[in-house]
Amino acid sequence: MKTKIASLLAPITLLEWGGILLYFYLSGRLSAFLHPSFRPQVLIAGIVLVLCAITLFLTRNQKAACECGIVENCPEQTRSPLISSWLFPIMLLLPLAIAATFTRDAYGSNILATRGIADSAVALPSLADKMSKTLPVSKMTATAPTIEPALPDTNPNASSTTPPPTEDTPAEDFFKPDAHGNIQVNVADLLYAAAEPTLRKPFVGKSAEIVGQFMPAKGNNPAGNRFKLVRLFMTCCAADAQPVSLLIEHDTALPIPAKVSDMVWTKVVGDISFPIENGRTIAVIKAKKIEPIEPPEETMLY
Amino acid sequence: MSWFSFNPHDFSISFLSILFEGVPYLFLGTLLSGLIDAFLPAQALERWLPKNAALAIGVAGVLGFFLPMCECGVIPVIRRMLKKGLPIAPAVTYLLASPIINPVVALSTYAAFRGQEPATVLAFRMILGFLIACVFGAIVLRLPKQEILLPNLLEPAPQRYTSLFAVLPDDSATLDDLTANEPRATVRSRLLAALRTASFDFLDVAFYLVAGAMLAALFNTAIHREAVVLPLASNIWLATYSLEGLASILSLCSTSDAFIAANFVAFPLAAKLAFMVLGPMMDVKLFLMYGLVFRKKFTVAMAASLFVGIGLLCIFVAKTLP
Repeated sequence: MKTKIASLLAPITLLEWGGILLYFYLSGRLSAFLHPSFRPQVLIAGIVLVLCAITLFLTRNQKAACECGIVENCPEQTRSPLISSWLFPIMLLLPLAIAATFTRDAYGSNILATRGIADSAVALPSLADKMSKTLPVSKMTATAPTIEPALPDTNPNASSTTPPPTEDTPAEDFFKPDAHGNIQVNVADLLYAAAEPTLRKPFVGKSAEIVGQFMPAKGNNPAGNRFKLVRLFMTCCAADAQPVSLLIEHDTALPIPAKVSDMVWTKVVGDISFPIENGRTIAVIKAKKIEPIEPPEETMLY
Repeated sequence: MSWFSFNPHDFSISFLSILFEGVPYLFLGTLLSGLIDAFLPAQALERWLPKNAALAIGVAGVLGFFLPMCECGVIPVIRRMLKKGLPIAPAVTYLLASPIINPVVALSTYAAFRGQEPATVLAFRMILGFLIACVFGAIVLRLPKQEILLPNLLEPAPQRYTSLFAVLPDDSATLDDLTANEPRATVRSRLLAALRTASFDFLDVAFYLVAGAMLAALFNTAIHREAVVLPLASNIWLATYSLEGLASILSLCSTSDAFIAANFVAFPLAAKLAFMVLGPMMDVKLFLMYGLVFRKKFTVAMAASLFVGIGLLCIFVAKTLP
């Protein structure tokens, strides 16, 4: 009986792993965990793991390949003794199943405390690298800079009707206002712009719509009328995601809605400005409208 | 506690993301390991490598550029190659060098450091990675392999078949049929055997990947980085060894660690180099996974010497730079 269970444990484990990879990919939940460039590998690995599970299950009663001289090192005999112990299901079946079942797919505010919130482009992949992925210089302005503004890979607001700018989108389209007269920007765009004078120019004075998670502003807030919109910037996976934030300034005539509290997804419409504070150019949105929203489809920035 | 705060949901996201990123590459490595076992004759690798030990170590040091493997995937491959007769010195050299001397890593390092002298950083990362792997290979050459490898990897692999892709007349033969025709297995049955080997190797290594991912996720989400790491940035010694410690804890993939390193703007170049050279060679996840190949005493000695040696070398390089 024990041998029978042991022979089933390997295919069951592979099936669980493959199944979870496939489920996360097909359900779209993977977007909270991995950069888009790593996602197809998860799909392929999920399919192959399920195929391996089926193969192991169907061949479980066949003579081991090592006994037939096909392979020289019998994997069934040479694997570590831990694998044959009770630790095997505890380590390979339970943690993944528990994590996949109970995870919320979004970091809480604790991650802001442990990783710190960056408020400048130095925390993002270097400016020149980001710029090199965007537009040809000629598409920007007549006095084109040597580098271009970072365009978001995905729509910052899933509910927006404006299609997300892509690498093929001309800069004019990126700066083209929507029906309400606002351009769609994300936190990273404005942090990059604040870091480079030539990038700031096209943004100055424009009305923008931006989404992020609300956090109170503890610094750079002399009049007490500022808060932060926070996004997580992912390089490869959620484990390396870095919180980045943008300052929002609002008049007393425009109070923060009661439903907006720490980490609540918030949409802000306002004018982009780049004041110099403490000797550094920063990006600030002067809010005209603040409202709580549902989380966007892609919660991370890339 | 101001430097530690644990949140199970954050831990879970970080844990899953490390697994989702690593599993496809780990499985690719174990698949390659299965194919090597089923199709590569024993001692072939030994025959292909230069007879001169120093040259063999040098070749193994740059082999990653032609056979790129990530640090998780390379472990099952090396384990299989050692059983196939690959001498231990070039095996250890390839194990340490391939996650760094690797075209994907070269590109990501260059991209991550754009605007921060990318060519210099890339060159130093590659050169230091190569040198350390070769030096370690040379040290291993002088040690008795009984002190390095696990007992099950010391037994010489039997020479069971003589040619690659030997095909039986009846291609529909099953595994059971092959018992009577041991030296000549069908391609199909070899593929089946490769898949079975890959599956068991995957489970074997995944065990340690899970343990490593748990530790990495814990440190990744519960330790307050600014409180613990940033105060160390102003002193080159503290900065270098603290970033080495961070690399060991975070267990990042070598293809992505440069993007993290590039963001430590307050830290000196030596510290960032140490972060990028040590991480792919030794971290908590790899420490556990090396337990499938090496004896515990050797793994501990390797971890300690890499930690100290890489730090010293990176500080020396940074101090001698104009």
